[in-house]
Amino acid sequence: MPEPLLEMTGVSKSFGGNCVLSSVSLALWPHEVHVLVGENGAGKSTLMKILNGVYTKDSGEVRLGGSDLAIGGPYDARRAGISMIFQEQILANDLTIAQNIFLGQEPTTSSGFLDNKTQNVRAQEVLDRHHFPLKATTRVGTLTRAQKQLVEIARALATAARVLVMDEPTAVLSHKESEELFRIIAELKAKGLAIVYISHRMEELERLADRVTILRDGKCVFTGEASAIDRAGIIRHMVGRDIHELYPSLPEPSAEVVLAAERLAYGSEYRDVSFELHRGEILGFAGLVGAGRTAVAHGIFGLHPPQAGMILLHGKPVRFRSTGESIAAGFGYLTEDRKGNGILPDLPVTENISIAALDSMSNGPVLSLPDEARRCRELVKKLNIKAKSSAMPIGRLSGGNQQKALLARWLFAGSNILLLDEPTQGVDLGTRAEIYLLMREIVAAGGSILMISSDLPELLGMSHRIAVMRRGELVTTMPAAGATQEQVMRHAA
Amino acid sequence: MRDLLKKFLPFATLIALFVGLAIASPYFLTVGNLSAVIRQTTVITIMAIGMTVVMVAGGIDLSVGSMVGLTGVCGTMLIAAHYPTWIALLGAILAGAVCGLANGAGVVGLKIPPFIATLGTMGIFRGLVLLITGGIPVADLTHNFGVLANGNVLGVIPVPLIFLIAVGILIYLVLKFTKLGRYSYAIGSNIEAARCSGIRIGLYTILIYALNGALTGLSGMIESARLVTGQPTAGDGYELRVIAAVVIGGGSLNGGQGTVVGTVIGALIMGLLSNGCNLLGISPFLQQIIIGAVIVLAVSFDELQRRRMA
Repeated sequence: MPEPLLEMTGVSKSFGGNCVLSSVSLALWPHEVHVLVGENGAGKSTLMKILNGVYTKDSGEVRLGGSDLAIGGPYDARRAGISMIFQEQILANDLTIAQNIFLGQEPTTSSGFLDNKTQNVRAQEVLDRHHFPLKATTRVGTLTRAQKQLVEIARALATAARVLVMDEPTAVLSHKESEELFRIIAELKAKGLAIVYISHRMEELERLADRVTILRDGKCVFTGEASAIDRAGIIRHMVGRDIHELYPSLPEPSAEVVLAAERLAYGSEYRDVSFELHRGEILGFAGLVGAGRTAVAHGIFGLHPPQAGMILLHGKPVRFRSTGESIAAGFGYLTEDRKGNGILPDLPVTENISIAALDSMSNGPVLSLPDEARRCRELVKKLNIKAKSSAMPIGRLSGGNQQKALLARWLFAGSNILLLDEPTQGVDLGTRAEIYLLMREIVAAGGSILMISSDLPELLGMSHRIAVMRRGELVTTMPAAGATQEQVMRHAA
Repeated sequence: MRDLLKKFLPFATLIALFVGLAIASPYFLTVGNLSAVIRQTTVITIMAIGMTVVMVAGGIDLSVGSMVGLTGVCGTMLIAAHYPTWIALLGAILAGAVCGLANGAGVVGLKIPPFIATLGTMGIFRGLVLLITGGIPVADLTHNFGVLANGNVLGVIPVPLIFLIAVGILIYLVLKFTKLGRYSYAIGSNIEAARCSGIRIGLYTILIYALNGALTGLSGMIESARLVTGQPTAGDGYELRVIAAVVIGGGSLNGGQGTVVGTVIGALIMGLLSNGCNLLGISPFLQQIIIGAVIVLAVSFDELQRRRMA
């Protein structure tokens, strides 16, 4: 084998005495997809942020093409031909797609002024080449999360010359968009790029990986050919234990209809959406991103009440004009956008858990803090939420722990109809299994769950029935047992 | 460990400042000087406590300086009309609450960013008080309501200190033990998440601004008692000193952060700095530079901490 294209050796990094990476090495060859796996907090993102100059390493070295590479900041990385698609979207909302793609390296005219025309043309070329249905002059703030992700990808592609890092790029993408991304990856690989791909999805790993590196607790526990390790082996290395069955078997739901939606509609978002949710049932919502699933959940939850149609709760029509009303009626909404409308980043876990149900622990306007602490402690223990101290702001916890705390918020509120929007997005495997067990427990106790998911195996494994939405319409509902991914996709696409 | 450092740095700074001044100037530790410091800083401190709640909730109120003038004039006009002092005090507090309601309504109802909404009312309130008075101070007040600012309890404890302690304890309890307090942190930390948690954002935002207005009204009355006149121009520029006190005490313009204790320490640091400069004969021009530098240092230290922990 020739020289590696890029070599990171003995890289260590600590944050305030907390060792996140200890002497990790990673070698990338041209023409390869190197999948980096590990649970949340294992150090994957940190390692990649060091490579991209977002963080500086404490020790170790990075060599590119056989010579030392000093990365003082993102600019150096970019000049060296290394670019990255970040997990959290970092786009300037008030700028256009083209301006975002060329941010920091705007084309200029011969007299030194910005050349907006060339910029727009070149950006549109990048978008068109990869069949992204976007216009370069659109303001990014008007895009959906999935569309923004496409912009992120386009931005990285516009500059990636030697190494491209993707941190869970498909987390918010639809099936079709993901397929397009995989095609792009194959193309780049053929061109000789080295691609680092971070993902929690085993299916993607098996499909894409040439080589695999597994991190656990800041250390490299495996690195080698993808063919040399199987799924069980990867999981064992990642988690440090065996997980036999990811999806627990679900108890049968009762015939009692808890929630019925009749011909719900909201502007151009969705129309004519009707479904029933039974007691003890998990109803999966499949569809492409932008099919209107999240909008329906927002409608039911009272965030943006539907403009037409009827919602029946236990047979009685209800109309929630605010989330406060729907929460009081027993609803809870786990958002797909943890940072946007999920966590209260400055507040500790406890206060994040109790926030939706302060009335249940207060006397008039006065809170009972001991009551709160006791009930939250139980939930923290039950859901295995790990925080270094009870006063630590939730914004500093890992995504998986944040997600569990947000779930705990609705358990604290005693919600019995949960609207879960991408409940395991960006969550590591161990936590995923925990969330599935919790969902099982909720329905076994008589709760009902409406689960929106873009993860087809999850939909098939964790739903009783699957409703499929396509372009704002609910096209069909099918039993999950016996359904295949292809069947679901045929209706969704 | 870092959290602890962050928590205690403002406090340590205050202590160091206190000890330093005690050593540097023989006049510093006299009853006369300390009570003067308290009388001078109480108004800003009480206002800053109100502003803390607003800033915790992610808002800001630039109109508080103008409110001091308006509420002070309202109060002194009641004094001039021979109402008892406590009625005048309530009148000023009520006038402040109404101003605060107007701010809250602007932010919530018209959906204007608080910076802009209160920039507008800052002009409106100041114009209003000048219009009411014709620019002439409410003077020749027979009442001895000056006791609100210049009086002593038990011979040595300045009356405004009693107000300050009462307000401090009240708002500390509100922030820590009431829904209003918890919701303030929630709204300031992530308003969309707060909305999805069923919090009535509009109602609480208006309450928060009204509370801030009421406390500013109290300060306005103390300020006019200090001057024993209703000055329509009173409080000019106070908004910036108030915001500075909150920020030095750990509050953030981004919301979600800030405590009563921190703010009081922040206000005291500013008060001691200017007192120390006076005692040591440092030019008032240099004073402004020193205080400006302290604000920048305090905030940059805070940012540095946050980045390191990210």
